[in-house]
Amino acid sequence: MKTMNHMARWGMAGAFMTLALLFASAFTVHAQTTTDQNASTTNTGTINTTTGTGVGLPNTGAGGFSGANIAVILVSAAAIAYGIRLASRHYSYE
Amino acid sequence: MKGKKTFFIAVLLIAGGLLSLGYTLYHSVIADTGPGSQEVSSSTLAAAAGQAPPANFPEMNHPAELSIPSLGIDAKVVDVGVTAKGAMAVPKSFQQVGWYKYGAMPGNSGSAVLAGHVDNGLSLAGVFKKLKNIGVGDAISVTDDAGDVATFEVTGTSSLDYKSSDTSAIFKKGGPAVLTLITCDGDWVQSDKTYDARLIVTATRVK
Repeated sequence: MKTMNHMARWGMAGAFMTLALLFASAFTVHAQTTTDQNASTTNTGTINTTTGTGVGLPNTGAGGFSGANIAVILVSAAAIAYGIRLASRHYSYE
Repeated sequence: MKGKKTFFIAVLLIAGGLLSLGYTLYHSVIADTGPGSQEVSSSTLAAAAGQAPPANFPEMNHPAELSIPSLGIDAKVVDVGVTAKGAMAVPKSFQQVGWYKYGAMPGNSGSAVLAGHVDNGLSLAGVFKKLKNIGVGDAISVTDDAGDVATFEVTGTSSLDYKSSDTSAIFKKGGPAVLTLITCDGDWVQSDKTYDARLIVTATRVK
């Protein structure tokens, strides 16, 4: 029975982390367009929107993960999962 | 007492984990967050001209959806402008397509430019991940807000250096109704947080 509870707690923590990661990945966005600025702050000075000249090519990629990112995410996920496990054990004692 | 300590440690672990996870996820999906990367407002930039369509084609309105049947792409189209660095901005979502709102309406006279992500920071496929597989003659459809559909046929693809400054043909106003699709191509350049090339797909209106 104790083993079942142990597995259930880890299962819940794992499921929570999976959902959190899926949620984060579904809503990841490119941050280029999140803040409007006054056009007077533009540092190009060469764009002519009437003729279309001087416009730079868009940045349409994010490059995927680096190894460091993956390591940080795995450690973070493990910390959260362990925290949830500890919390659930705390409540199960009360 | 022991229970409280355990709970405190649990909260610390969860909070710390969430903070570092959120920070990493956030920064892993931003391709360009340096100064001047945000989109500038339209206060001094003229909004898209409503150029008339070429003869024999009905006039199109504001684009709403893009469809490329051969690649299985169906995406919502959102307006984008110019970043403070002077580049065409991109959609917030990697699953949407951005229409350069200071250019031509898709289907009307001039080059209408649509850009979409190739991936995001989690290595998930962006809306234009498969764009490199498009072929000459493939059909592309753009549906406007009124439900009217303009159909284009791909005439060619090319790859441009990401620092290319000669983009006048891509953002050209006037002339035949051309649709230009852009996404990232080539290799990742960590120092600039972008790919080193852009895939350019051109198509002309046929219906």
